[in-house]
Amino acid sequence: MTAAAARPLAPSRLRLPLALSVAMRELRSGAGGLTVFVICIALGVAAVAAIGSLSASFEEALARQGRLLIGGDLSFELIHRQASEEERAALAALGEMSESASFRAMARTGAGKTALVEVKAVDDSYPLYGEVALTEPKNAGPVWRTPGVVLVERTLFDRLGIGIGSKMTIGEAAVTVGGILGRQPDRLADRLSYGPKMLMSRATLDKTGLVQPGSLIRWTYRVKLPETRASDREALAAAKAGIKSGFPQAGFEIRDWRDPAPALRRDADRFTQFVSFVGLTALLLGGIGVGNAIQGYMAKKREVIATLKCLGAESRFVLVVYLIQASLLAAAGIAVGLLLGALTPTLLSALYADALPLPLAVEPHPLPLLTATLAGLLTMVLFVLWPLGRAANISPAALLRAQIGDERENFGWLYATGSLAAGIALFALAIAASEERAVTAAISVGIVTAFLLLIGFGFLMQRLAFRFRRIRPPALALALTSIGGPGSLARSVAISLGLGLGLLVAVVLIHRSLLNQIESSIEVDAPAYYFLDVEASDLEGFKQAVIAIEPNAKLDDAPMLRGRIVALNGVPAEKIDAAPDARWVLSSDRGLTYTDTVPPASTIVEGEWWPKDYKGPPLVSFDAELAKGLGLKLGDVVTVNILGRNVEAKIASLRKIDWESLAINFIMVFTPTTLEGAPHRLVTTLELPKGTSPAQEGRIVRTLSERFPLVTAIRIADIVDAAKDLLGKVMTAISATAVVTLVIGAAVLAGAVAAGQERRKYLAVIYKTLGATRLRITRAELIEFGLLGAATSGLAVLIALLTAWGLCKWAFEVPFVFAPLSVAGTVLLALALVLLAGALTTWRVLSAKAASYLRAE
Amino acid sequence: MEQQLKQRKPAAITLEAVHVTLPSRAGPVAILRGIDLKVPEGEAVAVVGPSGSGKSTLLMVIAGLERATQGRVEVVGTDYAGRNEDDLARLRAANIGIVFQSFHLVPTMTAIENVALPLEFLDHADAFAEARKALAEVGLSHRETHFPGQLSGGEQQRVAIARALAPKPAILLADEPTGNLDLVTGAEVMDLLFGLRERTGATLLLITHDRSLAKRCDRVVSLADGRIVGAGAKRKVAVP
Repeated sequence: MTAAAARPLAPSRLRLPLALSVAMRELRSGAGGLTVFVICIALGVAAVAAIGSLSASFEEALARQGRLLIGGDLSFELIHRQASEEERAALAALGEMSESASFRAMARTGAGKTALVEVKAVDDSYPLYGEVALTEPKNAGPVWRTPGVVLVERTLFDRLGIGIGSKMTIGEAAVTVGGILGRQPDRLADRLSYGPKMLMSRATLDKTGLVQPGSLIRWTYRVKLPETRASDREALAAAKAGIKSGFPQAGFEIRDWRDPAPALRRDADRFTQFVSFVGLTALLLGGIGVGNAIQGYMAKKREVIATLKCLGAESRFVLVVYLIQASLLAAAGIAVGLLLGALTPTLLSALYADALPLPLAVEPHPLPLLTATLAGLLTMVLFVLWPLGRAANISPAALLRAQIGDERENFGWLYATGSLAAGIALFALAIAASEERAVTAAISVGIVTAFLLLIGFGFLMQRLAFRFRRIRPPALALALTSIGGPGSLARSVAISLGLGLGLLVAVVLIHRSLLNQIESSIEVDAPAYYFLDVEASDLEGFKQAVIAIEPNAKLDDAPMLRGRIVALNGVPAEKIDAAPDARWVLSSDRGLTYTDTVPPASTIVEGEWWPKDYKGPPLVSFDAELAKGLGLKLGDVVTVNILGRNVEAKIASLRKIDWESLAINFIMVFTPTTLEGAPHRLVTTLELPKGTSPAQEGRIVRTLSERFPLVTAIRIADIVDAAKDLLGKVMTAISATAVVTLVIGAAVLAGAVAAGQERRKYLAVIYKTLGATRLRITRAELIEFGLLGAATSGLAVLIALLTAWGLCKWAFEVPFVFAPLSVAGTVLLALALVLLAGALTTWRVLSAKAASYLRAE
Repeated sequence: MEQQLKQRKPAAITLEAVHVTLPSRAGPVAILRGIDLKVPEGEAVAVVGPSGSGKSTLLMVIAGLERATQGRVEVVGTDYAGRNEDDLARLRAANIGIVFQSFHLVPTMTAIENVALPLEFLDHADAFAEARKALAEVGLSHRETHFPGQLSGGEQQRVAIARALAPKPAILLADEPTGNLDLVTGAEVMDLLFGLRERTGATLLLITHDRSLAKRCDRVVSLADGRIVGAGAKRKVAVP
């Protein structure tokens, strides 16, 4: 070694290969303390990737199984009426055609048991795609084509106490159960079902006598295009356009295999959007863990950074070394997250195959995985760039000079701006991926506010603890000193526990409020049954039959037809830009009625009700909220297709409707002269006095179904149960994502606790040296964690209460219900989590050997 | 003659009226208060003084790790005024080797990687071959692949010396290099340091509490309360 002469300064340049090499040397001996970094980013990315993958799997399944789901390349649906000869000829000219009828009916056994069934009557061409699965007897072939033989789902066996070969009555026809119906094509295209499905032939349907003018029957015409044209989008569009223009008044609801279940897809989209935000929150929370971990890591690396700089490393070089390390760890976390997310559809399919509406497309979906990767990287940059930049930029003298403090550490504006830009990009990504961007932007602001609120609360706890740290007894003073001092866990606990717990409690409270609303509606003012397809001429006899058994029963009735909105103010329905929560009104046929008095549970909020004996041009009264969503006002013209005829009516009034009452009500109520000439039937509600026994109720339904076989009874409790079941499933899915948030919170907390472990051990050693007993130290540790957990839980519950109250009041419009037991259970779970962390910490702290720490000093 | 030669040599280190004041929570702290020092190329200077006298700060100012609040600092012909932190980092890489009391080896790198690092910063194509040679010179060939945690204190300091001298710096700065070592090991390390310094001819600035070590230098500068309070010539070297 011979000293060189003074060397000139080399030009500044970034040596990426050397930076990579140094980064790898550092990582080779382990990324101490950065396990939490990987776990947090993995869980956050997994949440986003899983939600995206599930959504994509569902959409892909819809698209891929489109033909099976609608049972053809195209489907044309009519309500109340069969297609005319000309219409049928035009449809048949498109390709192979199959006609089916779907309706609800009552199945009655010889023993007097009755049950609602969802019937589909099909012709011999059915099914055009796929096949009908016969669970039992296997390989029996198309037995449903035999007149008088039906297939039913197994649940009907339990309800009616029947089996294969049993006889029962549908309408006026005696039928035999030929087998158990399994999966069938086009089942998703069917409406929400309240009873077991039944498959029969057209010939069997004819025997039932249920096909009457005005009966609530959906006639569906499925068309299989010639193979050469089936996948040709233009041919598909041309076929639809041809039927539409050829029969402008027909009122066909047309679907094609490319979008077989638009309503289901829309519901899934909205659900995905909501859950995606829980995923984004989880990712951001994971980001907090990442930020904590990298700060802890960089604190340990101060000496290394100083050394590198002393050896001639530039700040930029140091930054790149640690950015490479962070990126490699983030890549590992993202890879794990992507794997978990990509496997979620497979896992759900394996666990809940029967509960899923259709088999998911379980292969990996690149777009959501790419989005999750991007979100993970942006989260990494958001939480890592600033602390890394500050650490890399710090003067080596400040690093080596511990005794002078850190006043000279610069703020790192450039890196703070970079982190902020990554955060904005992350939210922009979420907003860009969303359909309802304004809502998404508002929720994004909410998430940021919640984060800031919790961080602020943590800071407040720290300040208060510092202020009151001289309190007695000494264990409490030690706990407050730890909360209020440097290295405090206050902010970490607030953010890690607060978000997950708040979310979970809010979900619990909203669920309870919605359930309460459903349940209280039944108890107070909801009818017990709806009866469909009551003939006007039978109404009096129908009422008498009920009163004869239960004199205190209350009956209400209204004429009912179904029709589809085809235009608003002359603009075709498919071209109307409706608000998301009003789109469903245009998507399918709706119930219609006519009356000359304001219906019950309705209030006129705009306009006037038409006078009795009104004979003028057609008028309609519209649901006020939906009218707003559709952009309608008084005087606008609504065109509704009823029984193959377009009816134009001017909006005369807007009504606020209390749907929760479950009384008979309709979005559109017409003037009597508009509809009374059309063939139709009545819908009747039956309200039974409190205390009516199930036996009495059964007797009424049995009597009515025997005397009026064409009438269908729908038990409200069954609808409510179906709604509760659906609500339960949705809430379980949301809770699952909220639990993921809590798990990430636990990881963040564990990381924060681990980062402060050495300081705690050192303090415990000092306390022991000064005479503190193990019990006193244990007490102080547990008090500290207990206080932090309790205070954060309190705030989380408060935020959850406000959020749940606001959502119940303005979004769901149901009374808010506070469920103390559910909240207490959730809070206790979270507290147990924090105390467990405290107990583990205490155990480690107490196990620290005093001598080794003091000698090291 | 030797004295004349030394005096004619250009100054490797020039400090003129250097002040360093650092902020702290208790208010500004004056660490150095008007230091004037000139160290010619090849000279070995010991800086002595009580704790808190500003010795380490003086070293950091010369290394470009600390900014002078006032005054002029020129090292190997480069005036620090107007140089940004990265310029100074590159100046260190090329011209200054530093040995610390606490060694400051990168704990995640092996001995040879630690020694090779400054050479890599200088883009030496054969950084590891040179590092191997440097380790051999400090007698640690058999410890090349050991991590700092697997080495004794003396061995760690020898690695640090090899690392400091491997790029053949014009200036070697040493801050209490035996402070964390026992007497015997400390003596061995200092023999090694002085031996290598002699061979390389690097200018040495040694911060020490140890009078016997200071005596091995050409000159001793005493610091107290941030000022030079005494400077004596040793081995016929003139006081600045």
